[in-house]
Amino acid sequence: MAAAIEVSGLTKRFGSRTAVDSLELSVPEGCAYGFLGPNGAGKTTLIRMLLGLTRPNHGQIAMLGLNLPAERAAALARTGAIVEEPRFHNHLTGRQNLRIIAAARSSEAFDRIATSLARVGLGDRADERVKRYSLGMRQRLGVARCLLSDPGLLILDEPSNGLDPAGIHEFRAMIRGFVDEGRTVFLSSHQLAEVERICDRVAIVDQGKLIAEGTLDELRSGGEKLLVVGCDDADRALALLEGSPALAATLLASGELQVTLVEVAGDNGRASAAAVNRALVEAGLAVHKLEPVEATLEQRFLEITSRLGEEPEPE
Amino acid sequence: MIAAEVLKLARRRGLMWTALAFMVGSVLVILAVRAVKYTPTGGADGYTGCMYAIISFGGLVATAIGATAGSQDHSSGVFRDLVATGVSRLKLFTVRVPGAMIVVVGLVVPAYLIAAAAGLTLAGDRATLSGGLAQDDLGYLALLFGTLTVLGCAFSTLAGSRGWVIGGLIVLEWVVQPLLTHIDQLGRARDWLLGPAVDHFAREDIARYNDLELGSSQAWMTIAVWLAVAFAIGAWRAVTRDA
Repeated sequence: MAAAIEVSGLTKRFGSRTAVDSLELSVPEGCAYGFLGPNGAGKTTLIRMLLGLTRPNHGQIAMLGLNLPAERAAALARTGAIVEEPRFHNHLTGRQNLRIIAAARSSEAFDRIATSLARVGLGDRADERVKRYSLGMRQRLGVARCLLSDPGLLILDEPSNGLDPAGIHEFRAMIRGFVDEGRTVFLSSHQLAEVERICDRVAIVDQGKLIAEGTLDELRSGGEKLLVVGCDDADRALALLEGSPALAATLLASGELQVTLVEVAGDNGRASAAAVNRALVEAGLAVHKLEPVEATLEQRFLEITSRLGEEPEPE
Repeated sequence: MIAAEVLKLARRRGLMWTALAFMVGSVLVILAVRAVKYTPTGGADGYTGCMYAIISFGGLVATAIGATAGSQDHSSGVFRDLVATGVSRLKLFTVRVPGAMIVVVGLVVPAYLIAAAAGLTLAGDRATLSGGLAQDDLGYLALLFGTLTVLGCAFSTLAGSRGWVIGGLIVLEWVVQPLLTHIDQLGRARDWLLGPAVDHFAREDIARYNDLELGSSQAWMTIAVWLAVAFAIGAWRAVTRDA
């Protein structure tokens, strides 16, 4: 599959601090791609380099098959982007703000103003001044601004900030609609649950480096394999399993056990789970529950970025 | 894109109404005072009186509009979105100047038309405004307001905000340069002051600087250097700024 974004050896330093460190990234065309990382991981810096807002110190970037910076104008002509919170001329209406951007794009962009506003649900509020818009309306207007270029690639930085639950639901459907139309959506976000619902592939960056990349299933299956065990004597089961050096077991508040399985030759912990069951049954315990724990993207994110136990902070 | 620049400026209602009030109001006040104290109210004399107001307030307006044009994309945060369209940063800067000039013309013309109307009528037994005089004055106003617009636009692009730039240019135009022209020890260095160079093309009745003798070629050269340097500074900042 061709790459919508191809980044190689990309480095950006601010003084002695390296914000993006020899980053390698390939975003396939026609998918929703989540770009995750803790505060200061380099997410926004990468987006700013993609859009020509700041210059990299080293490395190569290609967008939509076009090399940057040589072919930046052509690449950006087919790209729509929201960087951080969308900003506008507050004294102008939503429609006038889109006219400002359309003037910098092409004559076709003017023809797309009405449809873009309608698509994000701002058709009837387009002639109000932006200073009266809520943050959610500004986010929608930011997406409408992206659509003026009929983009093959949308780069969205925290786009669902400020949206209410209904707005988030609509936004999710809108993003999937873009992907169904063959567009690529590159979504940088802290809202891991949203990324999990929207995206096909995910990259996790920390301290400017790519530390995990793949489909959601690949990422979720990459962590610890956990098993919840229910039996008639949890204390005895715990003592029994603690004797096994390969297993770590803890007693849950529910009176059940959580066991960390050992993966052997990519078996996803199956042999280990069977061994647990066998040990308990042979000890005369009545086992009524053996339930693998499905890791969420958030758990994997916190494991990978070594922040287990910390709440993700808004950027 | 020039139309977009005009839109951004023209929709600043507070700035537009204030500027228009200064321009038209000052001319009406001059004519009202003349109607009470002088004869004739209009004619060539009344028109020249109005020109003082147009020059003073028009200079302020041109500076403010130019500075707003140069800084509004940055201060609103929209500059990065314009850069992200792929259009060149140099073009983004360049279109600000004609956009601002169109708006300045739109604000100056009503005041000038009132002054010219008074100049053509209300003359009593004195001379009315002649076509040649009007042509000369319009040329001078275009040069004066054009240079102030470019300077305001370029220096506010450099600074990223307009407040200090408007204040700085007002001080330069109405305080620093008048002082410097009177310091004889500066000798021919004063030939490179912008105000006297622009006023070389004003008739004596309305020129603000009549103390320096400048040749036309020197005056053009001085204006060209100021405009080129200001434009280069603004363009450099627009191209190199992290958006």
